[in-house]
Amino acid sequence: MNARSILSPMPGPVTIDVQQVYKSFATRGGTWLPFRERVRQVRKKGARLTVLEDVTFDVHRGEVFGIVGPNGAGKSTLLKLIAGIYPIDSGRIRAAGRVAPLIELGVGFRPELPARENIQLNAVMMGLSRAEARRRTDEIIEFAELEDFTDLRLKNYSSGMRGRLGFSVMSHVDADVMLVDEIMSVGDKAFRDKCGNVIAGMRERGKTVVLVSHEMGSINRHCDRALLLYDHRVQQLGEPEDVANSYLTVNTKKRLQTEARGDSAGDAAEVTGFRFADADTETEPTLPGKTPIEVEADIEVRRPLRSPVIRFSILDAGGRPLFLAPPRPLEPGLDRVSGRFRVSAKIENRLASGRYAVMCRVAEAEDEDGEGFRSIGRWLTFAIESPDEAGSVVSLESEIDVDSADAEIDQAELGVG
Amino acid sequence: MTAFAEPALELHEVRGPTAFGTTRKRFWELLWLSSVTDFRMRYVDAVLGYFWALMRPLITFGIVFLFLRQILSFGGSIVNFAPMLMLNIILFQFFQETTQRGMRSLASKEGLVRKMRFPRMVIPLSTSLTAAMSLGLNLVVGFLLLLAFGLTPTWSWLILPLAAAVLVIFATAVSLFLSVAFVRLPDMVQVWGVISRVLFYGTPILYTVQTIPSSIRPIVMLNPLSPIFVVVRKAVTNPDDITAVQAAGGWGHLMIPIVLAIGICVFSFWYFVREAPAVAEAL
Repeated sequence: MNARSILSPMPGPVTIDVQQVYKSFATRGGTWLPFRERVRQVRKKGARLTVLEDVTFDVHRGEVFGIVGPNGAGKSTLLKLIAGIYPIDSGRIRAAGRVAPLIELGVGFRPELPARENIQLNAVMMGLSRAEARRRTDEIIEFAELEDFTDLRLKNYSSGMRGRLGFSVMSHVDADVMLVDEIMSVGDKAFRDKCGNVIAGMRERGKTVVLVSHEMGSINRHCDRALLLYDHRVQQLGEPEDVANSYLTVNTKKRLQTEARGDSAGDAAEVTGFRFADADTETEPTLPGKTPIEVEADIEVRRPLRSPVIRFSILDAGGRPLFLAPPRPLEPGLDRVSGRFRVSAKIENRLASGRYAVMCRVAEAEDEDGEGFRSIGRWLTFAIESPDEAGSVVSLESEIDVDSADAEIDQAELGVG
Repeated sequence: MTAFAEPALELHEVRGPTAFGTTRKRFWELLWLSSVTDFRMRYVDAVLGYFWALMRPLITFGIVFLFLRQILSFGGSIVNFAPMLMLNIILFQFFQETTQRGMRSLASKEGLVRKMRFPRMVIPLSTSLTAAMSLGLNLVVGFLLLLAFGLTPTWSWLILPLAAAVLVIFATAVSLFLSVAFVRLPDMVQVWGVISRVLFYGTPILYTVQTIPSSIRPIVMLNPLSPIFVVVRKAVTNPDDITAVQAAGGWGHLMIPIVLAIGICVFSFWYFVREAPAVAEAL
């Protein structure tokens, strides 16, 4: 059950306002440089790496707002800019009330000190006064379920306990705006549930939460709106489902582009055309489950190559290969091959519901001495709709029998009540 | 999302980190809390605790004294040589440790600087404050040892805490500069190592200004640390020694180290405030 469906669509007042924000970082050169170069580098203004370009959005009161995007898109930087940890290059950021960033669980904890003192130190860092921090210490310990370990030094805590403590402090500092970076993935299920409850509680009390995550599940579950950062820009802003879907698409695209090009781009051989056999022009068709996937490819080999092979593969939405078809020589028996080819393939389909890609590329035969030619592959994305449970990858026939009479006998024999 | 209990909060500009943060109260609370925690962690929680904070300068004093006095037969003509040496070493070791720790302070708290928002100046300042706390304790023990050396306290001894306070301010200012400079240029460790060695020998610590040739005296007195040690010497261990004005060769000359010290303080402070916003990303 999604909490946001019960909320009225009328947005509350703006609590985070980000206008045309640009951010870049100075880059440092390699580790080893001749002396003269080093001196020169220190003196000159080095090259800058753009991290965010023209980012504009706002978040409203009582809203849980998701930020998604591939690694290096600038998500964490954006969070740190809102938190005021880094200064912006240009643009404007405004926020309402106390902003509490949780970039990493347990930042600033001192391992040599016991929990109690760490809580007070951390809470003051987060913005409470010393008196407030002292008053809330017991509450924080209780929330973290660490009552039995208050006198233990933090270095003897497990990482899970430390994470719980960090999150507990964070959720007790009366933040009006809470910025959470990818912490839901660290704990166990109980911890994640707790995080979820805190976030839901913030929403109910009319606070604001910004959530950075790689997990589309938690974005869908918690967020009212989401933003996709791609290539340092806001690519999409809207419903979390749509944004999560776009994220999967761009993420797949990015991975597949690297995959299809092999190690480096080149043009000795190229897949010039690639399509589904039933010639629909749809960009991303939805295919029925358990029906073979049929594709056709046009291949052009531009200079004579020694025994090139063609390879088909199926990948999941994240670009991980699920199936790699055995290599098929383009022209068996011939020493040197060039020219144009049309290839068709029929691949058995046992995929469960979800989004996938099929890829075609030309490669060297594995048993030959590699010439190291370059080739450009192509890929198609598609969706499968089948009745099995979401979250699985393959759809297999299964039969499950339960014999309840035996179970009772076993329990009695083992003496388990 | 219609009615929330509390009224809507006003939007405020997010400008990134600064040296001082937004409110003065928070600045002092953080500074005090982290200094006290550091102090406790370093001394109270170590097995022999504060003992170490005191023993380091005293051991150095013992070695230097034995070496100079017994092996080189130096210092025999200097009035109250041993107590002077002890006091000077306590003071200089404070300066050296504070600046060295201060230099690495920002870099050693990288996680904090990169992941939390708080007034940046708290970090180097708390390092200095922690060191100042142990200096305070050391001076109390130093006072007792002066009595043990057979010296009789006079009103002029009250200059000692004042001189120590000036030294704390100067060391803190230098730390502020070094903490940011080290982030920008890791070579600062080497550079500062050399400079503080030069300062050790270029300050009347092992010797008095009276014992060095008057031609070198003005050079030694250019060093901003020198007047502090000359003043302490005259006030505590030898009232008959020359004054800082005499050592420098007149008020005009004494103004040079004073102006230099003030200049260094102002520059360091300005430099830190200027660099503080960007220090997180330079780490």
